[in-house]
Order: sequence, then structure tokens, then C-alpha cells
Amino acid sequence: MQYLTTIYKIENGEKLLKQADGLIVGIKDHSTRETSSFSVAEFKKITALTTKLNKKLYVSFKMMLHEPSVVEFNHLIKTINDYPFTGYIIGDIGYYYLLKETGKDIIYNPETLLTNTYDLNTYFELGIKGTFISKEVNLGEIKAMLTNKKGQLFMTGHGYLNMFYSRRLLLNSYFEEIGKTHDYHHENMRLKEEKREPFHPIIEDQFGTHVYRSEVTSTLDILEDIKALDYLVIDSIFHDDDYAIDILKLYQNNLDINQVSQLQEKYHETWDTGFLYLKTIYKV
Amino acid sequence: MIELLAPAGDLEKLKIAYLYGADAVFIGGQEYSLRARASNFSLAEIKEAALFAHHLGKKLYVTANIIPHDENYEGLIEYLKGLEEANIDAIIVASPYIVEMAKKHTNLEVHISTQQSVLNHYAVKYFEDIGASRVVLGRELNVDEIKTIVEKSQAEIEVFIHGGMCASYSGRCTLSNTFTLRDANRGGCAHSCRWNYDLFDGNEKISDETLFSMSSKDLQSLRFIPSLIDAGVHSLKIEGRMKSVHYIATVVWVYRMLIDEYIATGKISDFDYYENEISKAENRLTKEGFLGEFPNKNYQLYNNRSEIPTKTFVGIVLGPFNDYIKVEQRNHFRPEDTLEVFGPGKKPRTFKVESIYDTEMNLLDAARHPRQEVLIKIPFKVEPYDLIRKAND
Repeated sequence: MQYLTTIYKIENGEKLLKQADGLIVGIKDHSTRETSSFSVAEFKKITALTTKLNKKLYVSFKMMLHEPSVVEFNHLIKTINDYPFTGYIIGDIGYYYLLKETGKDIIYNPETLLTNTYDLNTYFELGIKGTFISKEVNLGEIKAMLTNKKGQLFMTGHGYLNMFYSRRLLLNSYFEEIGKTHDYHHENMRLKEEKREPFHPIIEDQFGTHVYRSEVTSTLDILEDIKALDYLVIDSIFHDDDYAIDILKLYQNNLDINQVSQLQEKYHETWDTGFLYLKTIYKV
Repeated sequence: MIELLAPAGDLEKLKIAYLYGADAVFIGGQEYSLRARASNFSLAEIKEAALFAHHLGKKLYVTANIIPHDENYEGLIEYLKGLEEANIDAIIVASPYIVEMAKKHTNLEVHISTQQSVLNHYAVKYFEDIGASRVVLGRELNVDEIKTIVEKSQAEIEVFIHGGMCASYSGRCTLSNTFTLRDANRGGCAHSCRWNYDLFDGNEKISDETLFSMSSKDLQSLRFIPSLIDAGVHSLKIEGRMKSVHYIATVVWVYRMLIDEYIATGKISDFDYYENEISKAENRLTKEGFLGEFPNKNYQLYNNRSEIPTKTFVGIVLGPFNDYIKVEQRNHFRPEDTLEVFGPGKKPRTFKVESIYDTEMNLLDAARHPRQEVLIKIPFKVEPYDLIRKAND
């Protein structure tokens, strides 16, 4: 199993790559829900770094694809595709048809939808090189996917997981409704359901509104169970690169339980196991 | 010819949808269907529904549109063969593997559910390549985007024109899973997007008496129907398998009349009339979704669920009974109430209730029992399956 991480600042790339096997980055104005998105010039620098260190590099486009953005997207791909990097992570299957001739690996990550072995394998048959396992599956289901996979499997192993993605600009609409200006700090907004305690990060960008689970999801307890996974991703959204480095060290060095609590204390957060041990109800 | 596609949660609603003008109806089976709480159909009922549809020269589609987990695939092929044997016209699915199995083991036509949030012609191409003949687009598209997709696709394109809207891209939301463990993509959605939330900036509470909500107004697209027809869309879909007989009849009737007027004359003479009529169905507040301008605060619902049953549905005409009309009661009404009758292809007409009798000719002070058969006089011609509602709510 290899470790990929998102990156906050380009100057921390080398430090991160001492711990990680590769990076996932966004491109400014073309990517969403990334720790950072970089200009094309910055991306070029990152490709130089990952090439020099012989590491993996993926560009992530998790947003839905709308027709009006196709021309600009194609222009971007024409600009960056000759740089040396590993592949594209896509959130909409439509991107596959725009990218399949690029010669890069294509990894499908709709975040939901990939909840079973059978669907995963239909995408591999299409020519998709890898897929992310959806966040809402449990450990038993993950193990079945790992046993029966016909391509590379990726999984977000640590970080805040998105649970809602809308094209609507819901924060903007709400501020309009209550008559307040919205000079809000994008990464500091939180929702609290009126009868529940947890706070959920919410962000808005040009691609819409995104709401996250309240706790960081961790797979530290199941690393042995998922060792057949091809790539475990540390998603440092809402954090910085020091956090990603600490987490990578923790996962790779099997640090003891005390260090887990020290890290949680250091970053003022608690971790949970997401849906790993839960069974969702669907006949109500 | 453009298709008007309506929902139905049981056989009665299905018959009403066809009679009031739907060209096709979609229903849920007892397996693989979202809307787990909708009264889904057994295979025997699906067969009966298909027979009824084909007798009228209309079509029947069955949804099998959950995003499955491994455990859900047991018995899939037998179920698909059962649907084929029931002689339905298509299945509506979200899982590529179900598409693959349907093409491999049956001759079923396959439509792709909006759960896949298809928003571009490249994604349509993927589903064409694996064997789908129709794609239901995501609801986040304006008319220009839809037109582009239609022009660049081989598959038929279906779009939603009326009903509830997910606040998120469909299929991309796990709020319900997170808050309630009810799986949104397997029919258990708890509609957590319609709950109320406090909004904080760090530790500072921003929200006041108006709480934050993701809840969107329902879709109503009457003024966009001509553009959608001109864009070459194949099917116009009404959402709401869990809605009432009255809702389905009213909404289908209004869109049927509007579509027919546009096809016959190339224009709509009075949109206000249709908007007034459709407002008699029990909707949340409505807007045109993404079809026109980009949604802003006026497209959202805050602090309430805004269910507005604007006209109380009181009964269904069963037919003549001596000098009276026999009506099956659905809600309370009494003498002196002013009621409104409408039926397939017929504009509403009002009358005042004089006397109400039971079928033994006992005089009643009110029609107060659900499904009771009562006798009233209606001073104009009515037919079985005409619906009666209060005119002065």
C-alpha cells in the first residue's frame, strides 16, 4: 500500500514526499475540495519535484462537469498534459472522455456511487485505471472490494470527508436572505443541526457548496485489514502540511496509542471511524 | 412526439396518471428502488400495470435505481427477468453493473437514473456505450446546457419538469447516512437537507431567527416547457411517487394541456391560467430550479417546510346512480360547500353541494368517512375518475 497526500504549500513538497509516495493537487479555478489548488506555473514546479524524487503526482478534478466549462478545461489539459505526472482524479465520468487519450492514468472518484465490487469492475473494464472506494461503505464491504478488484483501489484513509455537494451557492443565498454581507472566511464556517451537537465544516466556492462530516475519519485501526489497498490518501483539507506530515508518520510507523491522543490534542480534534463499523438502513 | 412521464405509488395513482394525460408512468418495484417508503409494486402488480398501460397504448417504466452495495445484488438477474416477463417498457437504473446485467440477460430497455447526476454529453456517451437508450439528466442544468446535451447525444434525453429537488447533486449526498444511518442512495433518505441548522463563523453564531437550511423550493417549469420541447428533449418527467392522487391528476392534467396547446398552436396564450391551476396541487413553494437564471435566495426555503395544500381534495366520481352521482369520499365535505370538478381534458367547473346521501338514500349532514360512497347532485356532466375538490379553500 502506498501513501498519497494532499499539499497545502508548495515549499513543503519535499518534506511531505519524505513521508508520502505521492501528492494530490488541485489546479486553481479548476479543482474543488482540495487542501490547495495551484496555478499552472506552480503545478509545473511540483511536477519537477515529484519527477526528481521519483514520486507519484495526481491532479484532482472532483467537481461535476458542465458543458460551458468544457472548452476551458480542454485548454487547461492541453497546457499541463505534457508535464510529467501520473494521472488525473475525476469526480464526473464525463471527464474520462476528455482525458482518455492523454496517456495519463485516470482515477474515478465520485466520492459516493462506488459502493460495490461489481460497479467498480465495470469502470476498470472501460479503461479506468483506478477508483476510489466510496466513503459510505463498511469494513466488510471494503474487504470484499479489495479481494475482487480488477484495478487499482484508492481510499481516503484520513481526513474530513465530504458529505454534501451542491451546485447551489447556499452560503451566499443565506447571507442574502438574512441581509448580512458575506465577507466570511471560507474555511471557518460551520453548521450545527439544531438538535445535534457536532459542528460540520461548510465551504462554498465557484463550483457550489460542500458540507463535511463533523469529525476527522481515520483508518488507523484497520491498516492490516486494508493492506491490499493500492493507495491510501491523507486528505489534509482544513489543515496544513505539518499536520499531513504528522499523520503520515503515524500511519507509516505504527506509532503507539499515546501518540494518537497527543496528535489529537495538538490539533484540537477527535477522530472517528466513519462508516467502517456501521451498517446503514435502507428499507424504512 | 414529446413524452409526458408521471410517477405512481400504487395502481390507483397509475390509472389516474394515464387517464389525466401521461404518456408513460414510472413506478418502483419492491427491489432496487429508491423511495423505500413509497408503496412499491410487486411483480404481479407490475404485470397488471403494464397490461393496463399497453391497453391504453402507453408505456410503463420501473425504477431499480439504488446505488447498490454487494449485498443487494443477490437475486438481481432473476428480478430483471421477472421485469422482462412482466412486459414493462424499460427499467430506470443507476448502477452500471445492473445496466450490464440487464443487457446481458434480458431484452429490457435501460434508462439511466438521475441518481447518476449526468450533466454533460460525455457522461451520456458513457451510458450509451454500456447500453442505455435513455438518460435522465441531473436537475442542475439550464435550458442551453440541456439543448447542447440533446444535440450531441444519441440516447434519448429525459428531464425533470416538476416536483421536489435534491439540494445536492443527486447521488452525491450522504447527509442522511451521516445523521441517521439511513442510506440516501438506497432509498432511506431522511431529507436532512431540509432540516434547520445554525451557522457559525468559527465560534461566532451567524444565524439569527432565520436558520440556515439547504432546502430548495420544488421545481415548477411551466414557462420552460416550450423551450424544452424546442430543444428536442424526449421526455418530460414529473417527480413524486409518494404524492397523492389529487396531486398527480392536477399536475399531469396541467402539463398535458400546456404541452398540447404548444404542439397545436406553437405558442401558449395564457401561462397565468396554467400556473393558477397547478398551484391547486399540494406543493412546497415552487421555482424553476436551474432552468433559467442561476438559483439565489429566492429558490431556497428557510425556517419552514412550506407544504401548502391549496385545494382540499374531497372525492372521486364513480359514476351515475339513479338521479345522483356516486362519489368516493376522500376528505370531509358538507352541504353548502362549493366544490370544483375537473377531469381528463376538461377545465374545472364549480357547483354548490345541496344534499348528501349514502347509498341507502339516508340523508347525511356531511361526507365524513374516508372512502365512503356518497350520492350528490352535480349540475353538469361528469364522468368516472373526475376529481372533486373544494373551490373556496
